[in-house]
Amino acid sequence: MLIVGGGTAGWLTACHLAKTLHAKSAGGVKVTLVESENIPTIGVGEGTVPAIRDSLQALGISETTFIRECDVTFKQGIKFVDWLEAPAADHSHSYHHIFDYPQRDSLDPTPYWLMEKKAGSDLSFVDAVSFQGAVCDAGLGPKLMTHAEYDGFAGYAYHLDAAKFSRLLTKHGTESLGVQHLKGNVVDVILGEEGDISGVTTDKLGVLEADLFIDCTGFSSLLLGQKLGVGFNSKQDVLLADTALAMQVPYAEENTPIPSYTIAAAQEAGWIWDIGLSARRGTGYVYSSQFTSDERAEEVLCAYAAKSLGAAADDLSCRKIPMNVGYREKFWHKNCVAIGLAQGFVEPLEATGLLVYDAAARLLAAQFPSCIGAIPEVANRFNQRLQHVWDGVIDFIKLHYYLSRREDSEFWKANRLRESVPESLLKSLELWRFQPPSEYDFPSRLDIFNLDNYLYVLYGMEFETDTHNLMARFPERERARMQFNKMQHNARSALESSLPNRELIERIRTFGLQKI
Amino acid sequence: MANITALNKELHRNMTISHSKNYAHAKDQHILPVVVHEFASLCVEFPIVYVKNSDTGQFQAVAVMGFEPGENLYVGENQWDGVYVPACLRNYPLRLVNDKNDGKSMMVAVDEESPLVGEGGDNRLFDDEGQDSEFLKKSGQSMIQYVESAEITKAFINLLSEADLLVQKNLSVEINSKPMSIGGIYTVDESKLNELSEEKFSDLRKRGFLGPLYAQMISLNQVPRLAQLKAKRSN
Repeated sequence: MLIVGGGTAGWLTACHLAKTLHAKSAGGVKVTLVESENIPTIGVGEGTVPAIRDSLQALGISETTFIRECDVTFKQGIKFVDWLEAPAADHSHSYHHIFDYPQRDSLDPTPYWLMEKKAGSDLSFVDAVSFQGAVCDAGLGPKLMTHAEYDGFAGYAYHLDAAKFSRLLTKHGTESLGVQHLKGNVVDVILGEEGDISGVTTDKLGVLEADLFIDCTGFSSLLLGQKLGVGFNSKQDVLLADTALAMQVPYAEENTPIPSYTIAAAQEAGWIWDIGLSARRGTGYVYSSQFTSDERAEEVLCAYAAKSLGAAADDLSCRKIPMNVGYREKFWHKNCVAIGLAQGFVEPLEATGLLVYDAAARLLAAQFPSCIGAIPEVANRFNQRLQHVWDGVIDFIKLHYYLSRREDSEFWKANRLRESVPESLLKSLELWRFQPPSEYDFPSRLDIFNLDNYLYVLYGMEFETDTHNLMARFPERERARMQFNKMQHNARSALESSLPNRELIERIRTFGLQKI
Repeated sequence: MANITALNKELHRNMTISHSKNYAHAKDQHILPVVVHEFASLCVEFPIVYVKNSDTGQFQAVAVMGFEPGENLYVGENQWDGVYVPACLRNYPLRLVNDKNDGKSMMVAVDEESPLVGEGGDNRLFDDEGQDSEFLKKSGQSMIQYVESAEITKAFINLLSEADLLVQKNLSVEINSKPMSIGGIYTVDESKLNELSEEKFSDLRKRGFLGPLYAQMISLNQVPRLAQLKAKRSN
């Protein structure tokens, strides 16, 4: 098997495949990765979701090593700023989409929270169902020094330096998992008699042959798109943003606190990501070129940086990244599978970049065809499954825009035009006006965004569900109030024992975490 | 309250330390740090376990003296009720601290609040000329030896941890029909030890670590003794 293209997608795939298929042992599937030395990787995906912890652990990477080598900080969710309303001089709306799921073993808090809110309570949804929002607001980390690797008192993922992460995966893949690493530029792709790919021609290594090819060549999709001619489903009509302007921002001071969440700050024609790594911040403005100019976008991004840095922000330089929003008509065609940007892309609002690559790589490794005969149906299922994943991701991202009440620019108004919203999302929202979402609305166990993700966004953005007809069904309001109070109490004790995000990271870099 | 001050031959010229069987300073300590060199003596009296330091997450070896913070079942009316006195208690109220100036070298300090400190007591720290007394020299040596033992203990625990021999365990006992347990502790797992490769096992043997390794495992049999002390005290 040959993986074409390095970068995070290529190396994540290589590691998952090599691990699952025992590339290192004599009878295992041979995994080779060829990457160019001079094609730059895009590497903006600096946010992750908690599934990454399972992946890293499964691959046998030490969390301490990962934290030390990839400028990692902890992430406990995303704080959405100014998404509901345009900011006013004295007011800015924000809410947390956290990683800890609400406890609903004994009592489902959602309908009760809705009723309390209707009755005038100003307790936010996130604070009613979890203490993690309070931990985030206090700038604290999700674990103590005494927690073992990959364990914590709250759910978490990471912010990371994507280029350094690729290097760590390269080292781990080649040294520990048995991935063969080749360096050369692919100059041509050769088709066999039946239209399969038989090999790739490289400048230095001649022709490389394989039974299965993984296309990780980024937006260019050299194998699946260009050679096999698999078309691209653009989703630009749903998700309007088509350009990103990325900027690395230094910390004002050595010990500036690092938030333990990603900030997604809505702007006039898109939004800015703000991710605190241990050594610097990564920021970027995702916008729609239909509604703003590149010059104006740069002004907006620099103004954002200036809020924390002052005049020092003037010297920072940005990098423009055109975004191709949508996904391939097929992800697996003949003997070629695309993973990463070659497969599809949506704006990184919910850290879906790495998330989808990782999910696709795991899916491929788990369902890897045992023989040639199994390929057609495995490919078929892979395509169905991933199309479902992409559609789910697009619905969820669109939700953030559709629930906004911003009227300050044409961009926000255009995002709420009915014809721009997927039918599946509209139908769900119509139902949820009458009753809160339930887990039966999310029947696929493998969906990336589920009930809880929807709850945090819907009720963070003041979506109205009419509980009038539900009162009789949920008579335990007193018990629910006690549960909400208990959550606030839990929040206070979590705040007492934990360390600020930066200090926690520094201690881990110094002392390391235990494996148990 | 302890008030730790670095020794100064001008400031402390006439200070004396009394011989004493007073262990009031250990009265509230339910765990005490211990070093590998004393595991053999400790294991017939106290459970030895590994715990994580809450500031650093690093494992450290401790002897368990009580079931909850603030409780030391081996200190009665200020006197030591055990047979063996853990090394960390012996030089009190003297101790070594890092030199503030270079952060590396060690210097002797004293807890000025200790009741053992005074003037006209058994052992002077300095003679009239300001030279270190025999007592201070001996104490200093003993403390340096302790620091060295602590370093070796650290290496020992790192080895256990790297060889994946430690497991988390709850020590549960019943005291006057009331269940009690000590959580957050770690011990060497016998089955993991038995699965250890020949090479790694012989490495432990060559370094002289097998004795302390087994002593710690055996010491867990002292938990019922601790429970008995607790039961007596609560009666």
